[in-house]
Amino acid sequence: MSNGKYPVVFFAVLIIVWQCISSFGLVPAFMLPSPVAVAKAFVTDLPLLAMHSVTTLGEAALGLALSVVMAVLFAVLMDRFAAVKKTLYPVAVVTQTVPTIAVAPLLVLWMGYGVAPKIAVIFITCFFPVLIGLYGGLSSVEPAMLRLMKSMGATYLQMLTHVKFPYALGAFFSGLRISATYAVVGAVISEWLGGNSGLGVYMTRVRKGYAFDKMFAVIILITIISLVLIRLVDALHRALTPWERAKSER
Amino acid sequence: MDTDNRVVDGEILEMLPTRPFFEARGISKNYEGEPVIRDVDLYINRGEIVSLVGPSGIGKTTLFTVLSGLEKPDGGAVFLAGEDVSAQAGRVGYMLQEDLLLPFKTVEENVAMPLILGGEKRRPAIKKVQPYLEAFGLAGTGGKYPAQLSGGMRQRAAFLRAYLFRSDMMLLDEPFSALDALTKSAMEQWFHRIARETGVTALLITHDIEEAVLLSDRIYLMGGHPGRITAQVDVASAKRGDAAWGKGTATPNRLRERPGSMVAPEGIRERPDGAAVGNPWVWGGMTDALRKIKEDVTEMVMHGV
Ligand SMILES: Nc1ncnc2c1ncn2[C@@H]1O[C@H](COP(=O)(O)OP(=O)(O)OP(=O)(O)O)[C@@H](O)[C@H]1O
Ligand SMILES: [Mg+2]
Repeated sequence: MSNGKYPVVFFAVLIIVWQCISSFGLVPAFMLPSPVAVAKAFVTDLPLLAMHSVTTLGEAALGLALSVVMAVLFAVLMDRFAAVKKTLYPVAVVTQTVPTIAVAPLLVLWMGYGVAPKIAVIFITCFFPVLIGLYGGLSSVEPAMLRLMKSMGATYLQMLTHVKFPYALGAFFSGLRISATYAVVGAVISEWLGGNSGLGVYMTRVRKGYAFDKMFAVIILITIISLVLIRLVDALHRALTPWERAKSER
Repeated sequence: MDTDNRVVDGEILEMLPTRPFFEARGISKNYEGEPVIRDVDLYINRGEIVSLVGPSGIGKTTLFTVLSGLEKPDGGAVFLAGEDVSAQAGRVGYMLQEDLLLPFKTVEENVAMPLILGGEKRRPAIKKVQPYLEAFGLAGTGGKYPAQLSGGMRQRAAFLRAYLFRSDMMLLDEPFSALDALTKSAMEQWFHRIARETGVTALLITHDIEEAVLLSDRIYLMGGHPGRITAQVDVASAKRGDAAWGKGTATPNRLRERPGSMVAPEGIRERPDGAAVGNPWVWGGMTDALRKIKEDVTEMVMHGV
């Protein structure tokens, strides 16, 4: 059995057990809908879910893009100027300990029910992992490699593009992988607090109607979206690092 | 100091009393207040291959960081063609001790780095280095990644990169020491040939006295604490008088004989005169005369002169 099959089998068993629990009425159906009921809800609400997904994914993409751009900018500044690093690093760490869920309502009060507080929440959660990943990568390049570049008269910018960025790609992508899923979750959480569309808004509505089947359907959808995003990030990572693959095919 | 007489095609190009092409005067370097090398004097004439031999940790690499201009000496100065180039990075070709091809760039991209850093676009730069890949025994490897090459090929690529950066004066820090014995021997002969064909001037660090004897015209010994030059040994005269080393049979500059490459492509800083000058010998291997020098040098190293 290949490694990929283990989780598949695990989930298959889980779903069968779940279906049995529901079928034998061990838990009331309104509290734990059966997998079949969830699947039905998923299919009937699919157009609605798709519409809300577009909003959420849009916010997530925007927030993530902003986080990446800012993280690249600040990682480079921190790498280049020790003073920037000494100032920013502790601040960045502190922002990480502030619970996003607690800050989100405040952001809504400040910025209203539009897209701005959502982007802000996503930025607060996503910026840090990318920044730390990228900065770690940029600053841990072998000193000998930089001496070599310097011996050929390279400028800092040239070292950045030819050595530091390629070196940091691995660390950058492990940060981005985490951030991509954070972005979706961050968008959903911020939508709980208000808005006209988005998976978070959908969740609040079905919760108010005690539609547990739909609740489960949307949770599963969010999980699927996160998994797909991780896969996308990994695919991008692979596409941008052809040398990693070359190692195995000598 | 000495006369650099050069005869090419029967024409006397230069007959001027010259200062050495590359010169270090009174170099000292401290690390954390501790002197590592002290008052190092050395010179290299144009077209000469000179070895620097000495025990591990004596300060050979430290000396190179100063000679390459990467670090400022705590005393003394470095001269290239009479100009003070102390603490000026990028004036000489430097092949570092570590195997330093960028793992995420192909061999041709690695080799073309000096041109790209000089402002050339990637594609034309790669195009320009193609004839060199072939001449340096790297045909067919241009599109591969360093991890896909053998140790010998990686060293050749690293050497070619340093060569394309500055071929007039090169610093080579143990270029062959990480190789297995057979590859090492093949690479030494390869280096000898390429050095004669291209006429490079080089200072080469090695632990291997036999390698120093085989490859160089002169050997500097380093010893003491802090490290300094303890002796200098002439090898060129022995080779000149040795039948096995071809007794001055001129080897034409093969690179320059290639049609269309009489002049190095723009951006590649080859020696302006290009010709292999000075010591155009064939590879003679270890002869009795060289074996004698090797014994003497070994003796000097063992007993610290
Ligand atoms: N950047 C540095 N900071 C502090 N000490 C250093 C530094 N570089 C080298 N040294 C010290 O200087 C001394 C000489 O080192 P160096 O690398 O020049 O020796 P080496 O002759 O090249 O040795 P090897 O043959 O092993 O390469 C060593 O004692 C080393 O620990
Ligand atoms: Mg060394």
